Amino acid sequence: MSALVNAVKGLIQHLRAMGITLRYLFMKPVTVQYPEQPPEIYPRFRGRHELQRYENGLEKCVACGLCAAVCPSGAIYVEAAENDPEHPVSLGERYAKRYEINMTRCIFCGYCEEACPKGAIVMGHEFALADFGRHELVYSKEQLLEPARPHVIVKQV
Amino acid sequence: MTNENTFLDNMISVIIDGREVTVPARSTVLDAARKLGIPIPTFCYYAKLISVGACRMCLVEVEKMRGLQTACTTEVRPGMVVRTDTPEIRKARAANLEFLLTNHPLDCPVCDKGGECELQDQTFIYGPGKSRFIEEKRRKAKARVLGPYIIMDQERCVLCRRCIRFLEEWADDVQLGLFERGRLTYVDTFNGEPFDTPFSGNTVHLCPVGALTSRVFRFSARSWELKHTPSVCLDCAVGCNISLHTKYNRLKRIVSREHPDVNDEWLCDRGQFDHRPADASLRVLQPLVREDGELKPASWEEALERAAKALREAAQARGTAGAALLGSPIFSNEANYLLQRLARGALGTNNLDMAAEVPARPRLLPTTRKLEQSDLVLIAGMDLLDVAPMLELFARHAGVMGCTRFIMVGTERSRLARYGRWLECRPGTETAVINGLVHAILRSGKARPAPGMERLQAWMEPYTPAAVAHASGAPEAELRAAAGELAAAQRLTILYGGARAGDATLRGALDNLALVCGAEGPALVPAQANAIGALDMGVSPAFLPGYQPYSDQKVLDRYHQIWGRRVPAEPGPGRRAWFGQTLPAAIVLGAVPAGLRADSLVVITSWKEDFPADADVVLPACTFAECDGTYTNLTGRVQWARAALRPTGESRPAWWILAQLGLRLGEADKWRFSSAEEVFAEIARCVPGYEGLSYAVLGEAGAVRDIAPDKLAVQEVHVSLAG
Repeated sequence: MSALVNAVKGLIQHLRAMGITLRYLFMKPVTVQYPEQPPEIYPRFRGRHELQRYENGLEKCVACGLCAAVCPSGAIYVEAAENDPEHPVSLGERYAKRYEINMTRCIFCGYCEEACPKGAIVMGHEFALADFGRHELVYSKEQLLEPARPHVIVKQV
Repeated sequence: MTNENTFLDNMISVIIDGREVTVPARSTVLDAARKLGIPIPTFCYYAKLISVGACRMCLVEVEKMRGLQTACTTEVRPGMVVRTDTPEIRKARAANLEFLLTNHPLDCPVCDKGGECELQDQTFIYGPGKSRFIEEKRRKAKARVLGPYIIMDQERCVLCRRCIRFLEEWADDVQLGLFERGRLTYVDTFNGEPFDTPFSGNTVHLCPVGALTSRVFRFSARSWELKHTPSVCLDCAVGCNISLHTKYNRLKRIVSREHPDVNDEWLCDRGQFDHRPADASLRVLQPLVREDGELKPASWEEALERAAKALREAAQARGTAGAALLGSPIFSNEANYLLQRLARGALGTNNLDMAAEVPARPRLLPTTRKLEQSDLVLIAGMDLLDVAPMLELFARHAGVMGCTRFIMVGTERSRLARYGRWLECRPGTETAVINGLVHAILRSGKARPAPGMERLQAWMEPYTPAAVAHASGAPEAELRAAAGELAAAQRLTILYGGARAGDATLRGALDNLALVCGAEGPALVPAQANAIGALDMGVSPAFLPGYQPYSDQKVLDRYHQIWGRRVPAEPGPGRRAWFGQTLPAAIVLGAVPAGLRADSLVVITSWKEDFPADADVVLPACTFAECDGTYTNLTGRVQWARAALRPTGESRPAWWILAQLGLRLGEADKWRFSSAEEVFAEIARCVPGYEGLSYAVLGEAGAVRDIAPDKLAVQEVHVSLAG
């Protein structure tokens, strides 16, 4: 007797589970067809770094080295030089002659952005950073200054 | 309350923050607080400068005194009760910092002082946290080049006057001043004259903010990125304690390390801004070997074999006259020790010498601060600023403080002459002037008694002040006055050296002067960094390490046992005999002197400019910044310079190169050294005076080696008195 009751109970549970599965079959899919379709990300997502400029074109970075100092994985290398007052690169006496981030070491913690006194380095939205060699993953200042447009949709929150 | 006894002992007890402390009379409240370890913030106060109480950061509360007092200028009094941390004081400190920051540009991200800035640190600890000043800041000159090494940012200056006070009290060269009034006040040079005093670099580390910064270091690194390696400056024989600051294996700056008996905490510009040891463009980068009449790069193995072969063949063909070995007064003790060991213990010859004139067993200064402890200093035949800049700084300080007078004997005017006299004489007549002084002192009847005085009197008979004045051009009245001062001096110090270090007649005349004045003998100031050390190591044809004579068979036997070969007992001919002929083979440590010719010339050096085109083998050596080594300074202090950088190119430490040659030329099992420390351990065993020393004992402060100078005795010194 009790065996029969159990069998019926089990059947009901199975049908209920199938119901859920069938319901999702008719709902809007969660899967994004990346890379054909751009993914949606949050505005404060920490992706690939970008170096900022002022509106007049001068670089914000003055090579103070705080990003390199705070970086927990030692991914940032900064080499400073003195601005030529006639043709300044940045606002102030010093600019970054070299600015490199080793993306193979970066853990995208965002401390560099937090430490920067000039708002020069920010974490962007680009995350597809795969490449064919480690050397290509050491980003130069030129690359960081002109980031590629990320293939993403920023969520409105 | 202070009792009678402590007052008599000139000790005073005061109570600071409820704790009692006893300090010498005339101490300040700040000194007493620091002794207790109580922090009091300061800007203008600097332990080695006279306090002026200008910055108002060190305010404290003293019971029974109205208002707050500056701790740096308030002297302790018996029974004083001081508080350093009350709400009122905290408010005053915060207000003071807020005021200082109203016009401070706060450009810390671009400031070279960032990270080691006293204003930054104190604002974090004592500052108000935010500023109420929203008006536009005062603008002053930025990035203003003051001199060859110093650049100024007048906006950052907090007007503490440390730089000006240093120039007044130590460098005695007041090239900076305050201009304008109130908030417009700024520090600048007078009339745009360059700020080029030979000690200008010290103002960089004195400056509590980033107002005065170094042009050499400018923007090349941030302070927290630098690795600090204790080292020793080799630009002169003072051997100032320095710290090499490096980043990514590059030398970024040279900063002084404090040592009370060497450089105190100062450096001269020559040493502080000399970055040549790290300049690869000047260096020999790989071993060179002569091939078809041309120097060509070779492997170490090949170059060492070639050098060893040349030396071996010369020694086999010509015996003790085969190979000539020239030591260097700039290379380390380790390298010089192994060079003489190579000569005596492998090639079996005493045919070695050093490229500097230094007398054997020189008498040395006990400390570089001796000048400040003397009431009179006589400097003969050299410009101290040129030979040992740090001694010049201490001398100027002593002169400014009014504790020391100076008598200069020589051809060149020195700034020190303003604190005494300058006996200006024609070149080469210094000895005659000294003899004249001895004559005058003997005549005055104020000469101290000494054995042999009658003989000296007879020898000095011709050197009357009138005759000496005629011969040397020094005014007779000045001579007599100087003699009077010398005879009356209580603590006389006599210095000679530089280019005249090897002048035996000058040294003899100064010995006589020291005897008649009752002073210690004349102290040598050699021109090269490790001249004393190389000599101690026995790099001389005339004696064994530690100035031991060849005549002692026991010593020769001991060296035979340690070095593996019999040491010849005949002195070598010395380097004078090398010139004017072509030697069979020569090995030179450092620069090859002009006129030295050899069929096979082996050079161990760091620099491209050091060897002539006809060298046969060039072995690239590391500079002091790239390998461990010890150097003995002009007070006999042995100091350890540590490796701060990786070797440039294929260069190797000089001791390693010499040990490799020893392996090929001597008893191989006696030449196995794996580090400079091991070589120094053998030096401690084999060089009398260096016993008990090791790298561990030397540490960061070094240790004075124990070699007594010859005893003073009257000397017969005669020079021409022809006008």
